[in-house]
Formats: sequence, structure tokens, C-alpha cells
Amino acid sequence: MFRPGSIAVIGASREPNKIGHVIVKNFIDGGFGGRIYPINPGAEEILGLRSYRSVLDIKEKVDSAVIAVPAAVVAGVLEECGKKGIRGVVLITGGFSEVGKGDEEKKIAAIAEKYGIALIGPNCMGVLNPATRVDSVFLPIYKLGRPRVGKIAFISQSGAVGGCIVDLAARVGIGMSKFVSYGNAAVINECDLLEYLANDKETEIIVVYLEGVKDGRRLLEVARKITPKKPVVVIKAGKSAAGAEAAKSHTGALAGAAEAYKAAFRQARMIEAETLEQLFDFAKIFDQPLPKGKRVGIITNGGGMGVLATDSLEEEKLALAALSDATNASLRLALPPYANVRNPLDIIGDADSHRYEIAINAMMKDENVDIIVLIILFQTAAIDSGVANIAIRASDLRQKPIIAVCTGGEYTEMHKRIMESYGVPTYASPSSAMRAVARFMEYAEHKKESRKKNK
Amino acid sequence: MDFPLLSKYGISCPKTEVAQTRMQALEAAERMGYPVALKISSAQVLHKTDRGGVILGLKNRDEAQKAYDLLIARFAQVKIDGVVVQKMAGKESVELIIGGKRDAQFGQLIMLGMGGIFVEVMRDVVFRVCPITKKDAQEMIHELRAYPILAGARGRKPVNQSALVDALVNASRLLEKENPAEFDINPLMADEKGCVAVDMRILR
Repeated sequence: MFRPGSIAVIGASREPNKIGHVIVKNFIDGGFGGRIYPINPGAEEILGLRSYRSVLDIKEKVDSAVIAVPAAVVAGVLEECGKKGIRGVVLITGGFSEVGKGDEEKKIAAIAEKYGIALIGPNCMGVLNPATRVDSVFLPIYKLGRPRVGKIAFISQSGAVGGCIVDLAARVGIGMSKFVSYGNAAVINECDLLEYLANDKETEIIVVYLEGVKDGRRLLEVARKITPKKPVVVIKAGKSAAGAEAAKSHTGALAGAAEAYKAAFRQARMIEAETLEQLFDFAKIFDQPLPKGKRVGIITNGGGMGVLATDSLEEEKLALAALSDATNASLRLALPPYANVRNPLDIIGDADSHRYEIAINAMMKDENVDIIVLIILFQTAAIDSGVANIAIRASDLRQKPIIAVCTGGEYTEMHKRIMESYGVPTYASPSSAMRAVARFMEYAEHKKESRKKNK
Repeated sequence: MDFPLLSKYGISCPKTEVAQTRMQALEAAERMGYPVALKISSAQVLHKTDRGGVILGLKNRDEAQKAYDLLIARFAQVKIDGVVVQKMAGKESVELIIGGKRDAQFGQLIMLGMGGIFVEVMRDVVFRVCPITKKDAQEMIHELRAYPILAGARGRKPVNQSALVDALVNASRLLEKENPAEFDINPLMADEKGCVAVDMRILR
């Protein structure tokens, strides 16, 4: 499914506005390295590729298929896929259980089972693997950006939300290892995907967008096994208190679906995001090496931002690192006399890249600092692109986690994008950064504890 | 109220004795220690509280004696089986609630919350999916916003947390085994010695 040597696009079309056209085009333009077989009973060739009436007409072996034909003919073409020996199918077509046609969906699932086909969908947006350029997402590349290769796998029940997140990730420079929009989950559901991604070498962070699950217990059990190895960030949509209104007891009235999910996420040590912004904020920090402890070192070129960061740090019950004597002494020597040497370390509004470098080096060496939060206000006269370079180099050392907080307009955004593309997580505000740091620390603690238990 | 069910799963219930005479009632009260409550026990009296069959907060022998006489006089016309003497929680106790609910996706959920007005207004409650471990129970206690009250804020004696952990783990066992639609222990009175289920409700 994610690294096929060849792929059939069933329902390929010559009409540029048709989904079946966009998918073929995306495979070609995206640079997919394998063979592409457009399938269309009425066309000789599509986008310069020879077109076939059916997958059964192809002589060579076909690994994978994307199906985008009307719902009424899905069963027939899926049978053909089975006969052809295709083992991975993405079924884009909608019009099944989501519109009350559960029986039709069961029929599809039964065919998939008969032939041992791993089927994603129906009613989904497909899969993306930036490394192999597998791209069955039916939205044009110029409208929906594709993210760079990275370590985050993202699975989404909703195609629409999934698409927005992929587009945003591409824009802000966040890398992905896999994207799967799994739709109605007739065969492969979120738990199967989680188990797959847990063993996927390209994936280090798993992000999940959930609307509902059929078997909550299984989700809890599966996720519980994964989180000691890889962080799982989750957002649950549809939190209204359905089902709680008919309750007769106190507990019944208080126990809505949201509480059940929240409890399960907590028990499995998944990291719950409340908003889409948090989903990104939490996921990307895991690109950094895990912190050894909970003590935060803050460097800022704006005093006020340092104060805000300290407030947020306390709100999240994190600890401000006490800089060592050696650090204090070296900073006093290297920084101008009017800089106040303490944590948060205010290197003053006239700080340039070099001063950031001094401060970062000092905190990197200091054993009392477990994570460095770099506040960079790009609006000052002395700051230029060099500081982004310094941050990236510090992050590349992979000695200690380092993140950046940059609040501002276009110039700031541009530099955030550069840093993000090179793996430095950036945040729009001190509070969003500290929230992510807190989740990061909690996860590091969980991982440490599970490791201890297994010894 | 189904105290035998709670006892079966090791959840403490208030000390209770049935007295046939005033003397027996006073001896029972002395044995368990004040404050106590006296309740009329009669198959003919269903809504005891509504009919004045429950007298709470009796702090000493004198009050208990008067309450006993009052109950006997009040129910002179009905056949009574005796008077129930029940130990009441002290002033230092914290009112908590432990609950359960069968969820369609996750099965039994267990809830811990601050009781009384807090559960209604503040919704200071924490949930877990059953079964829970001792560690889960400890985390639930810590996650309550009112945790400092349990830990002994402002010179209060801290609540016995290991007893509360046991109560939660035992309630989780009860929920798993009995699988009720809804379940409340409300209130669960907790103090430095332990915690006691004063009232409960189970909907099958």
C-alpha cells in the first residue's frame, strides 16, 4: 500500500475535473517511481499512459489499486482486483454506510476478506507516502500542498480535516512519514493502522484524528502497547454530551462520550490535543530528543516575553532551571554588563545572532537545563536570518531539546518556516510552547517509567 | 440501599446495628461512638425520611435517648422491626462520590468526584476505563481540582489516601463483575482514618 512497485488507478479519467484524472496526474507529477496503470473501459490512453479496460487485462503483476468509480460498480472492480492478486486497495468512492448503506459496505468488506485485500476506505481521501511518492489523495497538488518527508504519521477518519492538516503541514514545513484518510473503516480501522505504524521504521510520531471508534476497548489496549515506544497525539471530534441526557444517576449525567475518550487517552498515555493548532504544536516537539528532566531554560531578546513564558511555565507546573555557577560566570563574562544573568535569560533587545549563540552554548553545556526555549523576536534591528541558522545548528547537535517561540508577522513567519523545515519546532506564543513542553515532559516520564518496568 | 453488595467487594459501609429497646440502642451508639443516626425499621414505612423516620447527627447519649423516644412515639401506630443505629461521619470528613457507568464504546467507566455541591456545580470529577490499577486510582485522586483539600489544606487532617485507593479499586471490581447501567456511591465520607459509603444506588 505504501511502497508498491506498481499501481492501478481504477476510474482513471481524461476529464481534468474528475477525481480519477487528478489521482493519475498526482502520481505522475509527484514523481512516483513505479508503474502506473490507468483503468477505464472507454479510453485508449490517459495522460500519456496506456489505459486498460480492466485490471485483468494487465499482463504484469499489480501491487496496489486506487478505486474511484461510482458506488454501484465498486463490488465488480474489487472482485477483479482480488482475482488479479492485488493486495492493497484504497477505495475512495463514497455512498456506503455514511449514507445508510451499511449492507453494501459489508458486501465490499466480504469481498476484501475473501481475497485477503487490505482495504482502506470507502469514503476516504486516500494515502500519502512522501518518501515513495505514493499519492492517492484526489486533490490537485497546486491546491493542496504535500508535506516534506518527515517522522510524523497522520491518520484521519475525516478526509476534509485530514486534507487541511496535510496542506497546513506542507505550508509550515512539518514533515510526514505517512498520511492515511481511512474513511468508513470497513476493513482497516484506526487500530490496525496504529499497529502498522507502531512497527513502521519511517514513523516516530503518530497523530490521530478521531470522530468515533467502534471498539473503544481495543483502541485503549492497542494504544497502551504503542505509547511506551512512540508518542501518539490524538484529537477527538464530536464531544457533545450525547447519551448523557437520559441518565438517572449523578455519574450517568456526568459521563458523556467525551469523558470516556478522555479517560481512555489518559490511561493509554496518548497525548490529547483540544484544537487542531495543538495537534501540530504537540506532534512536532517530538522531533526533538526527549528531555532528561523537567527543568526549562529560557533565552529571550524581549523581557516581556520572558515574563509571559515564566507565567505559562508555572501554569503548566514546569520548573525553571537554576543555572549552574559555571554558566552564570561564563555568561557574565560574555554578555554585556547590562544583561541580567539569570533564567529566563534576557539577552536584551540589541541581541544579535552571536549573542544567541553564546547563550545557547552555555545552556547546552549546563547540566541543570533539560530543555531550551528560545524566544526570538524577529522585529528588532539586530536580528537577522543568522539566528535561525544558529537555532538549527543547535538542534542538529541533538544533545538537548530546543524549541523556538516567535511571535510576529510576515518576516517572523518566514523564519519560522525555515526553522521548522530543518526540524526546530516553532511556536506562536509562550503559552502554546509551554503547553507542548509540558506534554513532552509527561511523555518522557512515561517512557522512562515503562522502560524501568520492563527491566 | 444495598450495603451487602458493597461489603462483598470490600467497600466499607457505616457500622449499623438494629436495636429492639432503648437500652440496646444506647449501648450500640456507645460502642460505635457518636455522632450516630437513628432510623425506624418497618416494612410499613417505605419513605422513612419523608415521614420523619430518620434522625441524624445525634452527638451524645442524651440526644440519642430523646431521638429514640421520639421515633417510638411517632410510629406508635405501625408495626416496627426495631430502630437502626448507624455511625455517622465526623465533621472533618470530606464528601466524595464514586460512580460508574456502562459506556457503549469503552464498557464500564469509573468516576471519582468531590461530592455534595461540588459534583453538581463544579463538576470536579475524573474518569477512567475499568479495570483500574492502584496507580490509576492514585492519579485520579491527584487529578481532582480539589486535591489540596484531600491532602490536608489549611490545617485539615489529610484524607487516608490508601483507603480511598482501595475503595476505587474495589468499586472498579464491582463495576466489572456486576456491569450495572449506572452506579453511584454518594456520599462516600472520607477522613484520616478511612472512607465509608453512606449511600449508594445501582441501576442494572
